[in-house]
Amino acid sequence: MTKCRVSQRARKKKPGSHRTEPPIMPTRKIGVLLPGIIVFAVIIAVDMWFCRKASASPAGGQVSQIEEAFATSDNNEPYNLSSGRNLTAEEQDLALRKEQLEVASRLLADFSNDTNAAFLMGMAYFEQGNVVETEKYLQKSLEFLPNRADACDHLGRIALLKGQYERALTLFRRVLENDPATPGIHFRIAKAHVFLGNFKEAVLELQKDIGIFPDAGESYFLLGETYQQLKEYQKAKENFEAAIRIKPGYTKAYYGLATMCARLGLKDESRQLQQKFKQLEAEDRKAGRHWRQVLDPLMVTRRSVAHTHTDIARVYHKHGNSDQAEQLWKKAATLDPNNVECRFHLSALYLQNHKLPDALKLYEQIAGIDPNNGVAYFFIGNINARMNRFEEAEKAYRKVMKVASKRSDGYRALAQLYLQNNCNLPEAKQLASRAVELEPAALNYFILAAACDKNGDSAGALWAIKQAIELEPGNAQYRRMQLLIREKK
Amino acid sequence: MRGRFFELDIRRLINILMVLSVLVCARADGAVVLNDVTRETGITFIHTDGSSGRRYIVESVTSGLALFDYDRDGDVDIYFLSGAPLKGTKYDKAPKNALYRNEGGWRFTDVTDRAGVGDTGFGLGVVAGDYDNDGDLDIYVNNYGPNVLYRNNGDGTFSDVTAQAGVADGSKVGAATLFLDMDKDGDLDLFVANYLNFTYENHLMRTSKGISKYAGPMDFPPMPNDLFRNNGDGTFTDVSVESGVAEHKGWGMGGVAVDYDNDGDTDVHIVNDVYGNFLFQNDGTGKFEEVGLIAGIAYDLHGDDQGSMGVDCGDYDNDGWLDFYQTSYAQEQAALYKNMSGGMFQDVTMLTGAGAGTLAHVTWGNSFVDFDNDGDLDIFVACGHLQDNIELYDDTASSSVRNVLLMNKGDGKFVDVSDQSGDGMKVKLRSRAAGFDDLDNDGDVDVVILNSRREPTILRNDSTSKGHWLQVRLRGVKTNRDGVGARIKLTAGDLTLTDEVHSGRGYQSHYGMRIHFGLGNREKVDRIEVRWVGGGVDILENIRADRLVTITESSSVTPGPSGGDGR
Repeated sequence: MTKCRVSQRARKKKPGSHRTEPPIMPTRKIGVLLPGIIVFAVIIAVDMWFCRKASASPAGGQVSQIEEAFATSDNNEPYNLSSGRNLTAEEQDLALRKEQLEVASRLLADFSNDTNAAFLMGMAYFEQGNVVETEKYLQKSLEFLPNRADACDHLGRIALLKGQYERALTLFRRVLENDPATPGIHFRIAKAHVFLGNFKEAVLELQKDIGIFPDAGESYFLLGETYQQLKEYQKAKENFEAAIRIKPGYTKAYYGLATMCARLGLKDESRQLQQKFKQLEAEDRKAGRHWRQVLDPLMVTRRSVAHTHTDIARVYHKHGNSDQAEQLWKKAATLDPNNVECRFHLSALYLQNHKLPDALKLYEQIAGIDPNNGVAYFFIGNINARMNRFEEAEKAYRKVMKVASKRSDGYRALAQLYLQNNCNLPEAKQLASRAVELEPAALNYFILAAACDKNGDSAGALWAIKQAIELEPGNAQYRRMQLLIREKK
Repeated sequence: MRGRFFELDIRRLINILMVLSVLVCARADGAVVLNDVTRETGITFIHTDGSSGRRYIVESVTSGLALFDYDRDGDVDIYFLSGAPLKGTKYDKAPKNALYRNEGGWRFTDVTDRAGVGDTGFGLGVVAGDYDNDGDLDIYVNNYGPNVLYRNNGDGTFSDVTAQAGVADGSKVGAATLFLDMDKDGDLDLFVANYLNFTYENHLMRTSKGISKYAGPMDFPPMPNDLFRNNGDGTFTDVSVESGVAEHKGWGMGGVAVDYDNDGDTDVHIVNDVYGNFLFQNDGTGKFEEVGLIAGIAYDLHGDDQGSMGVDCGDYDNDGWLDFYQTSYAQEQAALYKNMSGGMFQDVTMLTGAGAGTLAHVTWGNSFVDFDNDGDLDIFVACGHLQDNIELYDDTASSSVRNVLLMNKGDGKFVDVSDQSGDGMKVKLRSRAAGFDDLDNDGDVDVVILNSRREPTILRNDSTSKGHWLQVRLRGVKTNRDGVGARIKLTAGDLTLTDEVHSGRGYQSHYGMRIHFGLGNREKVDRIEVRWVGGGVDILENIRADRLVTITESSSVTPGPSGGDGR
């Protein structure tokens, strides 16, 4: 049984303050989903190439179902202010929390032997602050699937919160055995070691984490702190500097760096860094970014419930209940205007069902939430291309090239668009070449072959298609193209 | 058959007895044993926070306590602060602070009314100090609302001289309060910490997961602290601005006045709730510069401002430099800051294990105390959640919890011995302030804990260790009468111990003016050096252990008989 990967989202870092709630887990960037989405996109792209005329509905004139969906008012939804009910924020909060547990309970009732259902029941309780029930259901999910890494991971995090560091370490090590690719696992093992005073072990784990995630500013920061405990001040300094390079506004890293400069006798530098730290701290407080500031507890709840709905919907979808999944994803999107994940799932569902305007609307929402989300622009381009909206597609692909300049997808997609519409052919060839440079993958060679062919460069086309076939020998489409090019020549 | 049944009965009885004996022995198999003797003391004080369900933030942070010998009869008395009715709360009888006289033998008598110290204000912080140098300890209470200065009349009664002294300090939300001789002129000045700017008009509640809870300090504006210079004639002058203290606004909670940089004058360390802590460095004349960040004590190791509550100081590693221990909010370990000398501190909590057992709790009153008289300082931490309903939305925490006892292993590291240190460590309440003194004059330090909305907890030290000890009481002549601010350095063989007399410490409390030193197996003290603030240095040599010695400035030792009765 495929385990349910619970998506993770950013929280304020520190737990337990009477001013904030315990943090749950770091954000899992949508990039983790990227490979799966790209594969899906490849399917669409190939579909586009061999179906030259889009089969989608003409642009405009079709009412978006998603607009209608968002406008729907359910009398039982207390968070829908348009219903006219006058609930206080606290009442809404309580109602949402109740709903969160009910939805998870319903899933568990529907799939009582499903490890994912048990896991999500546990996570719903965790969101409620009920750790006893959390542990119970996470353990249950492990009974169904003993090597379930995410359950062990969350049990480990709970152990950390409780100060049970040895237990946390045991659980995290189990995660590592079962799923070494669990994001951040080395970081959490390191954290447990730090609490236990095992600083040298913590260093080794953090180095492993940085090896896997070279842009993990928090790991460099913790490494700096650990070297500080070991009194290796120069190494600590270097790691704080690295953390700041990755995240220039990293307030606490400035504090660490200032302290290390002081230890190393660099007094002037230390003072300057202290001033910078104070300045950043003041800015954080003013902007409400201080980890203790919870300015809108209801919004925190809404995000939490949206997260639960998103994950539960995935289980329903996996079991073939797309209707239920769709309802839950829609609810999640209504609850949390910034939830990208539920929108991605919902839009993928709409694409599967050929509801292109609805899917497009969602991808545009995602792009609005996260203007640097290359995947969203990619799909915007794809859908607009299928709807024969050339300019919109072109604009979207150019955006992909800008925000994901080191990836080939945008270049390839724009090349395809030009080729499909028989325009800008020389540029199409350049774009396809760039795609190959960035990523010498079979599909990119394939597009390059088509571009060369269209530009009258038979030799180039043959060379490119040959590369594609070498990379994917079993691909019949590539061979058909090779034949076509040879025939032409 | 009957005989066999009888035989089985005996065996079962023996087994039960064996198990019981093991259990009895297991109750306290640690070196430190603290037993709960609250019921036998006769103390009937019940704390109130004035709550009515509206969750005014001041309810959550009350109160401090004071341990001091108010009647100079040689044993330490107890003064408990209480909250007061807030808007919307009604009481048949207004709660008040309570003074209990120590009668000896673990019996205490309520003398509040006779003494005239039953202030009905909303008590937050308290300090005892002989501000008029007439030989007895006076009390200053830091309230939410006007503060109160009680002058000790010397006959078991006090007079409210607040207005005359000029130290009512408006109507603020108070916190720690300290007496110190900031300008070395021989009398005690007054440092008054303030928490935040709360009024009924700006009151708000917060919620978590739809459950109401107290708002946090960041929901209210910060406040500067106040400093009053003693004019020497029973009055004080507000020098908050000219001293530089008022320049810095924070959310002050606990504090301690101490010469952290060993330059002969008394500095002030105030911990802030959800803000960088303040370290006011004295230039010797009563002018202060805030150096917390530079000194490395404003933030913890991670660069986080902690929800700091209380602070105490002591030389945990016997290197001659006084270190700090700060308590904090839940999911933050209480923090140990080692004094590195040169005006610098390092957060060594993780290195030393000094945060063990504190992560899940909100921690308050605390102190360095050598409970087992083995020559190094242990740590006691009073715990209890700020939110009285935390279990409703976060069951990784509990509102009523045990306190924590950390034993100093002697190698610079601490170990949590709470589980094996007597029934007193099993009490689960919402503790706040804690005071530490030898209440029965038997040569070890006992504990008094104020619990929110409940009776206090009195812990008698019944430690099994037979370590030697010495207690030192100072008598100033040219300097302030109780030697507040004086530095004491004791040498016994290979052991060198350092301490200082403080007035005000821990969580908004006062205790420990009689300095206690544990000596381990050393039967005598080779040398005691006392450096008086604004005065000279006195050196005494060859003092037998296990007694209270009174050292008078520029005079001789007055040793008491051995066995602990130093009167």
